[in-house]
Amino acid sequence: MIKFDAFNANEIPVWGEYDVVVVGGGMAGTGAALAAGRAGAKTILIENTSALGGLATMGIVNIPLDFCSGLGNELFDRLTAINGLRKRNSNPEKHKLVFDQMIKEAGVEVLLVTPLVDTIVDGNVVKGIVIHTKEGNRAIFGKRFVDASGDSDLVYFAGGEVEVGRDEDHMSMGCSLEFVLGGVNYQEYASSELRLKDPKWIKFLEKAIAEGKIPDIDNHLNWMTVVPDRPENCGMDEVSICFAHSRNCFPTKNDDLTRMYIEGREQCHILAKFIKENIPGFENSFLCYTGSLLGVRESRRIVGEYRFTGMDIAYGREFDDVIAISHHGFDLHGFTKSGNLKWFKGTMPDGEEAYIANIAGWGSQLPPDDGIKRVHMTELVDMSKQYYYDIPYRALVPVRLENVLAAGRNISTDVPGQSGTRLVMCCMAMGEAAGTACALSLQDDVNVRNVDVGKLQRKLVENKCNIGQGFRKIPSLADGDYSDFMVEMKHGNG
Amino acid sequence: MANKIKYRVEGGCVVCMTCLYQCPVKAISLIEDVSAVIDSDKCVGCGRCYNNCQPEAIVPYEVEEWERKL
Repeated sequence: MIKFDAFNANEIPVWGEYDVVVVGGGMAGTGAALAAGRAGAKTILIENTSALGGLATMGIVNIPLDFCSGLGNELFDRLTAINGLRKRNSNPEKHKLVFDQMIKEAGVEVLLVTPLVDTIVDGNVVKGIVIHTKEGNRAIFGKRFVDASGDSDLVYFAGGEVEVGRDEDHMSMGCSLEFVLGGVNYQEYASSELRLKDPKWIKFLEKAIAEGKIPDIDNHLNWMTVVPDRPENCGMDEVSICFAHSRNCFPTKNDDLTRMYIEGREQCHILAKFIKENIPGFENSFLCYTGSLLGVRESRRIVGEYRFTGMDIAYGREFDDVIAISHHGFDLHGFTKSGNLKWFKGTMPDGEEAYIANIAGWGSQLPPDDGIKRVHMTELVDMSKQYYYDIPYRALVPVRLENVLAAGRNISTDVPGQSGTRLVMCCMAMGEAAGTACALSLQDDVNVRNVDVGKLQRKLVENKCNIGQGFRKIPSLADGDYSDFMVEMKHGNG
Repeated sequence: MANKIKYRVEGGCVVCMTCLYQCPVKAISLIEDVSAVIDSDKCVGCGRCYNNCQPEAIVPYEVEEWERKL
């Protein structure tokens, strides 16, 4: 290894000084930057790719599921106004546009195509970051930092505690490259027997794989959404599809990332051909493009004050320091082989090991038949009530660093827990909470660990965030009446 | 008073459960792993499930006059 000293902060020209520095411009990072900017903090947002929105736009994951919270609700309102939303499917291009406008209005500075290369750290305090620009490396100094990089790059570079992948071999779950097909007659597909009787193509694919028509990329269709704002009902629909999968993934290794991009593109072309030849309504379809960002579901995560677990999802746990809620159950994509695992191996409160299944069932890859007890989540939660679980503020706070918060898919969780919290809208809600918390910690002059969570929750609720106030009493909000909140939320839950 | 329009799951449900959490009257349940079903007696026709169903598996239907009086 060559000792390279050029990153010494004294030798790097300074780009600027800010109150809040957000690294990563995905759903979480954009949420954090918007929240901090609107709260009056001087904010800068660093993004590695060419647009904001991360996987929701660049990765064509235009399927914003989960509860819509403050900024998410606003995003949906704005998308609806420009015909960029169909049910819950967004148009990725309009989504980018709306984010650009929102960021500009909030007075946040953005640097696109700007990777993070290092951090400047003093003990447990991050003083600044080093970015790579066209003119060379530059330093940005800040008071509070949000790591919304997805892979905990900032915390990792700062020497903070992190973990990668699953516990036993640090492998991450399957990664997907989404693709878009044009020239689709969606009406014909929607009324076809295949869609009505086998909507996830499970039996259909089983047969096709057995006959050798298609390699075993995955044993079911993950999702297909109609892209809004296209000519409708004339055989010119556009759909985005999540199907391609790479297995045995290590997304923090660049050689493996490259492998997955190349493999993913190859798979997308095979799938587009297969779909064109075999699926009703797709006779005239063509591959428009594949995602410019690989759908990494889970990779490096911070080690935080609280490690959110699959059991928290299984029991629908509530926390007093809730900052976001979700209802998405375990949703792990096969690590080494095809299939969707809507279950995980957990330890019940009595110490016994058990395979615990999602409310929706076991998914398309069943647990091994090894005599371990099988529990269905419906036995653990009260199904007569609204099901949801809380994401605690502590899961955003790294154990040692004093002025950094994580948001998005890299918060402190185990893998089954992460498989529920990684969804688009949930990430945005976490980002909004992290940005608001940074602004609050500056106002009160405390480090992020000591932020008054009650105050943060009241601020979030003021901004129409959904932290479960419509479902239950939260201690810090005890005097308010939020019984009508879920009715007021136009795009509500879902 | 019952609404004139109600909703049912016609086919193509991918069990994402969005409607399940969306329904204000808890009219929706699951046939495990297969499909969501809407209890027509409980359905108040608010349309939240329909408006949020990604695979467009939920369709509206008109409730007959005699049925509404029941």
